Amino acid sequence: MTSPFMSHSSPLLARRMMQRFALAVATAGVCACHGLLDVSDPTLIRDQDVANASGANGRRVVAYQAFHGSATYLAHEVALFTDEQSFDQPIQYATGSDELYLDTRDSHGIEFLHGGDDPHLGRLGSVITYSSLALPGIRRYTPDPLKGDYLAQLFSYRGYAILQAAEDICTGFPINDVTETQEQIYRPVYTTDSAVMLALTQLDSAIADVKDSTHYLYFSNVLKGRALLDLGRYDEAAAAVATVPDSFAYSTDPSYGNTFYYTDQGNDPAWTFQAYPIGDHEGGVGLDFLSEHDTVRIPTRYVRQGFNDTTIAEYTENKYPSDMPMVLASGTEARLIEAEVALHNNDPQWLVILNALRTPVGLAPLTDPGTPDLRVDLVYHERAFWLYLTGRRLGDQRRLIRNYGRASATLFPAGGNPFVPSAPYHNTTAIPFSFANESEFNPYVTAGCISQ
Amino acid sequence: MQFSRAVHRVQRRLAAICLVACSAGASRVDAQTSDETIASNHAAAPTAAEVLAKPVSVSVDRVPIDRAIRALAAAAGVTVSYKYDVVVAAVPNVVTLHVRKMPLADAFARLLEGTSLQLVTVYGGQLVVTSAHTGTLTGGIIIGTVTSARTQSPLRGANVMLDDTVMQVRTDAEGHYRFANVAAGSHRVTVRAVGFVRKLQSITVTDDSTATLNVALDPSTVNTLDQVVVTATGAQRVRELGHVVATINADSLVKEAPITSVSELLQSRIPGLQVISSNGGIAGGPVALRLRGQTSISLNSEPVIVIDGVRYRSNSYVQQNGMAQPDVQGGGLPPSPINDLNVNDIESVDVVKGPSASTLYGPEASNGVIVITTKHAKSAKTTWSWYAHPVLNTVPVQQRLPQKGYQVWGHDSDGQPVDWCSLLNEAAHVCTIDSITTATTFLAQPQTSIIGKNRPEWQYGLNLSGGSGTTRYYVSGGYDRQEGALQVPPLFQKALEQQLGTTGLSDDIKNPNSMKKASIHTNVSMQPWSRMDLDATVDYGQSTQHRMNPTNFFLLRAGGQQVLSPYTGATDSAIALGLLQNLLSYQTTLTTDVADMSTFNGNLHSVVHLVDWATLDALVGATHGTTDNNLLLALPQNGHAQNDQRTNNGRTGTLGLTTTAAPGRLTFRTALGPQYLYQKDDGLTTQGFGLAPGSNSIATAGRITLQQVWSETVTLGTYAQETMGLANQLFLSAGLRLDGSTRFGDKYSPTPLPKVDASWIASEQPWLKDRAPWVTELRFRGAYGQATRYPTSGMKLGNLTANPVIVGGQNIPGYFVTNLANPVLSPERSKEFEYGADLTLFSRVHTELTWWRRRTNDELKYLQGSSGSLPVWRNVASVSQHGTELSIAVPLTNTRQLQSDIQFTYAFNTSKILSLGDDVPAGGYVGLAKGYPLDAIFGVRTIGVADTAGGGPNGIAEANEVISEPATHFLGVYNPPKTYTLTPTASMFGGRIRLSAVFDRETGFVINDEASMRCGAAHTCLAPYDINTPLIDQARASFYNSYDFLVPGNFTRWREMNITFDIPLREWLHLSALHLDALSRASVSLQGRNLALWTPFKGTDPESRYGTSLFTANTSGIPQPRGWALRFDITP
Repeated sequence: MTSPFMSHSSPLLARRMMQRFALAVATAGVCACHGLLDVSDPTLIRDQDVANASGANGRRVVAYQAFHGSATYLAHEVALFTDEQSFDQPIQYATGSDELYLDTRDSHGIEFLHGGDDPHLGRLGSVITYSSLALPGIRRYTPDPLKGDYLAQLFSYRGYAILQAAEDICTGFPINDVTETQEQIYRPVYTTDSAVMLALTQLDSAIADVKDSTHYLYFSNVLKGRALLDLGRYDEAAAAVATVPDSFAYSTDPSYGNTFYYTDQGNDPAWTFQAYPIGDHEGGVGLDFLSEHDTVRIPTRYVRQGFNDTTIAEYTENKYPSDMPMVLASGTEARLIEAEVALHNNDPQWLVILNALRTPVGLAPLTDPGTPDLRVDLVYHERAFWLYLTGRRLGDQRRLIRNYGRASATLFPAGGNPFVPSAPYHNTTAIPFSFANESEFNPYVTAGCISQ
Repeated sequence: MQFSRAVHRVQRRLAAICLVACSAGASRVDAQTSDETIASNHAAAPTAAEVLAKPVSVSVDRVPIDRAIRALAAAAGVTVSYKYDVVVAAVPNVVTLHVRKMPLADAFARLLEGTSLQLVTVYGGQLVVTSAHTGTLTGGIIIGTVTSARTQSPLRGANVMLDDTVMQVRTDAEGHYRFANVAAGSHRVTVRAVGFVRKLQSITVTDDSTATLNVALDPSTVNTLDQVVVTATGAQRVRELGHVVATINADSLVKEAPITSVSELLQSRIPGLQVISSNGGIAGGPVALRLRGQTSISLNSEPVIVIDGVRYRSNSYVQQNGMAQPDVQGGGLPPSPINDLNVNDIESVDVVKGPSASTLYGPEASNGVIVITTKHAKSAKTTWSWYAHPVLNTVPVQQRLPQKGYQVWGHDSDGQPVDWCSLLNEAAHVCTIDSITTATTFLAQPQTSIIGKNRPEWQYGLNLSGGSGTTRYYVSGGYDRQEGALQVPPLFQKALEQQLGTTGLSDDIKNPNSMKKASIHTNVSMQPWSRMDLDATVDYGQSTQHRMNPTNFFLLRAGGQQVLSPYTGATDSAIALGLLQNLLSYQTTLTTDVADMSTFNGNLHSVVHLVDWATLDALVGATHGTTDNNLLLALPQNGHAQNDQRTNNGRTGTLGLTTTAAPGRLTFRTALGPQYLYQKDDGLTTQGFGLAPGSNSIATAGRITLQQVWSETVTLGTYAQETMGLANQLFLSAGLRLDGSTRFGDKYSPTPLPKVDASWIASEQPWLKDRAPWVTELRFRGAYGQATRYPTSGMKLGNLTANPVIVGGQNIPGYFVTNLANPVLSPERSKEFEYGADLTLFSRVHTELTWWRRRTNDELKYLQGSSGSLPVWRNVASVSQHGTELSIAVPLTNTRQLQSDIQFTYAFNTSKILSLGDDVPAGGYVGLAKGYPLDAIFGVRTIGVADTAGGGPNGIAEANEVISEPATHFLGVYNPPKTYTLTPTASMFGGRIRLSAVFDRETGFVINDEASMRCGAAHTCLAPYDINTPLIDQARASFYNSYDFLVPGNFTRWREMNITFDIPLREWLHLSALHLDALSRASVSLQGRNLALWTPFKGTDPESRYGTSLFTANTSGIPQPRGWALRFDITP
């Protein structure tokens, strides 16, 4: 057992090799070649990838889609909430329907169903957010004169969305926005007036930025006139729309369809559970949208005898017999604004203006009803018929309360609901927003509706 | 010189013995680094002569004798066994040895000269150093065959140990083993194999004789300490692990249990593993797996699936615009990827339940890991087997839904008849109720039922294995055809024929849900050289599925009836059939939804035994899958077509080094290596809207949209683990995994994930052995580990996607932001403690008890924000979970004629949201609330009716009279927190008849009794029509509030039943005489699945939850089908 000699035996060599290997694999992961780890995702686009004119335009058209895609939905919700449309469905299916809650103005129901999603405010909010995301790129990368017109377009969308929210939603609602660097902005909640003022600033920007596009100039002018009317600044309202020609019309893009067409016409009524009958003296105080038989402005179509009351013949609107666009602002609305201003100023031109709109389409001229209140009623009746199913009615009803001192009971349906007897009308006069949803992240939302 | 001659005599003698043994298929003896350590080494054995003639060079100075012995053996590249106590007692002092290129026999002779030790070689060239006083060179021989008691097939690689000490061998491909030179007297032989219960038997040996001991091992789903399981670092004995790894022996189970899919194989076998089969009757229906419950708020909770070491796709989610979305296209439901595998090709499944065990598996492993080992070539002998498995499934929905419906007839103020008049209508003065008639509901009538009876499934398969020399192969093919439970009701088929003006509908229309699947599995094993095992496996499968979204049938499942009108006197099926027709015409019959899918899995695996104490394991593998899904809704107008092309590719590369060392009573096992994982999913969805009338071509669409699906992820990780054993009784292990996972744009940033575990075999301590000899096994164990789940790229980088926007009829590229970027988003990180004990009493009753506690921090949550604001993902939440798992196996009888046992398992798990972060106000998010479980349901129930409002006190519950609870509150959880399984088995007449059954029980959860909730709409209850009904029942039936019908879903189900008969074909048919040995073994099984259901739940099936989230916690799912099957197996 002596040692003839000393040498490195093969096990020792192997062990050393193993140690080296172990060291290598232990560090392999840490010192990994980045090339090995490179991956791609053609579906993912970073902000820097769209930092160019094409990218800016790509963001602009998203705002376009948000705007045109939501406009008729907004109008549909307004129509249900007001006296423009009713809602009928078999009793078993009606319970829990957000459309029934809208129709009966059940604010708790609307809030409950919209706990995680607020369609009305949400749609308007998307227009604001997407236009905010588009504005910096247009300013930076789009050459004039296109830049000015695109800016006018985006600001007019923002003005429309904010104005619509002001007219439809109860005071105390939030308007959320994002910065250029995509950080969320929360501001103190808005009243109707403060929101209209915010809309005016957007519309003024649109008017200031516009270059060649009279289209967006007139669109912004009509919206501005509408906003000023809301604020009771009548003369300024008339001045804002004075240059808008009678023939002007700004409509939704027909590619985005028309909610009324789909809900009223799209399905075979024989198998459709729900129907949206034209409101006719809805709740006793609603306007005579059906019985006026004004087939020029409110064409109708017979659907069926009611589900829950077969004695009620249901007619649906036929204003949109196809997937046709909805007019959002027009020379007609400009003239209606001028007529209301004229009436406010005791200018007899108010009736002349109204009849000037009626005569070309074959409607009999109106006569002066004789008293101030009836004159106001007539102006708003004309507005309701000309602007039927365009999302204006709720703003008009609330302006009648705010500017003319009308009682809400004279404007909003009350009592039993003929179509769904178990769901009577409530007394809400503005679309509520979802407090649960809005208060979740916005520190300024500490209560729901402050007032109607 | 005297000794040297003696050694040479021994050499010649043993060489002669080994020549005989090796020609019969010798096995290599395992490396012996301590007196009982087992390595997973299967190389072919050299002869004794070759071993002893090997030249060795060793140089050791003043080392203990055992180390010198090991040095010599290592230098020769052979294994040596010795009893540590014996050699140290013989040579207590240190020794010195320097030899160079000296034959091994001579080197040992020099080392052992003058000692009482001697060298012997035994079967397979194994060296044994033993005491000259106790050892013998002239003893007897023990030979035998190890087989599976259940299948009688030979077991290769089983470990056979003589007298619990030095002599251990592994069985060869035919299950043979052999010990030579066994001292005369009584000996104990212990046999153990992966997935089988260890068996210990005694045998008496006399000099110069051969004793035969054949051993049949019982398969077991219960771990025993020396069972070997697959871990992230290779095969390890259970005793070495501080955590639980449960094993399912698929090979034997599939032949004798009513199993047609991998999900059925996994169901009811492992405590803590839940298989959510939401639509049991749907061919290729979706399946979700949960290990220890739901783990994440936002990310899916599916465990990682590893097949033969290769990472497999674990769910059917795809990344759309950077976000994980369920790949549900066109209303169809994709089958679970795990069921793309042919269950007949699976050898075993190891289940790793949580981070305490799954750390080393790398990213995404926090939900646990399902490790699947497919069948490999076993024997060089050519064998084949064939199976046929016809199944008849029937969804027993008719028995569980109301069979009687009501029609309430009335009249209005004009005297006109009114259908469906209700109390509410009366209250509204719409109509007056006249009479009530009864009728049979749609589902109860074969002509109007959407559920077809006796839907067949056919499975066939054939496999062939064999080889020559060191190359073996295994090839199998399988075919599966299944008809889904849903049918278009025959009555409607007639109506549709009339509508379409045809006289026959295609089978696809009548039976809209079916699946065909074919698969091939091949494996080739080679030994290019004695120290290398090379293994190649390829799986390929192809299937066609006619998909069907069962929710389209929802209303029809709820009720519907055909009634006789008292007014017309004729069958008034107009409304009922019209409703049926309307629903089906748009949703079903005019829709075709066909998916063609293919899957490929392949891997090349080599194990190189570098030296006796080091093994290098290298694996490369790939997975590839394609789906081509075509959906067509050919409406008369505005038809819709959609095509989904999907491709997924995965690549796995691992390199692992395992070394062992055994200084003294210590053992060390070191495992380390890098791993590369690559996964890519891509695809394209093409949708065409407004197809030309009558057209089925997407090219005629008025508008076509394209959407790309893409996800590419690379992970590079390194793991290292050190396991130290002391006297084979205490094992301490520490490991670390460093992972960097790259999604687009992320930087590689290694995340360290540690793990530690300990296992102590108390029952082998002398003080316990002496005091409580009836405690056969007692082990305490504990483990801690961390694991992660990664956010998707879209969550982190923001989600700016390109989609066309229509502007004035023109498509213009638009860039959408659907969620904001959050560059600091990090993976969800789970930490888990697991501790428990294993106890075996009287060598019979085996119990495992495990507690675990997990905390997941940085849980991801999608923060929606206020209206119009952009959502963002944030790491905001923390969730804790804990649970208990228990399994008890008790043998009842063990006689020659009857062997029976029963196994009971119990699992409990619960979760609690610890934090939702500052961004989420408490109570502001329905469904998630701090202090409540992840799967909590909150709601408001109806508590009364104030019959004063509305129509006044009229005995009718009207909408504005309903009184609800004042605030939402916790109503329960929708995932069962408690599961129980009872599995009795019996074997009779020497194992020729085998019986087994499985009973499941799940408790502690609530589920929506949708059938009762919709009884008013379905006219299957009188509450909305009968004025005598209590007001609150009227309200619940008329204004269905799902929270009113949230009831306990506790159930007990007879899940499986099986009776297997072995058919002695050889005896019956005199096959030996005909030389038809191939047909020597056959069996037939009568199988039943979901045979009975006991539950207080009144809906269709409390187990058939449609999906796994709050909003689908109802009974929309199709009930589990009751299936009867026969299975024929013929095996040589």
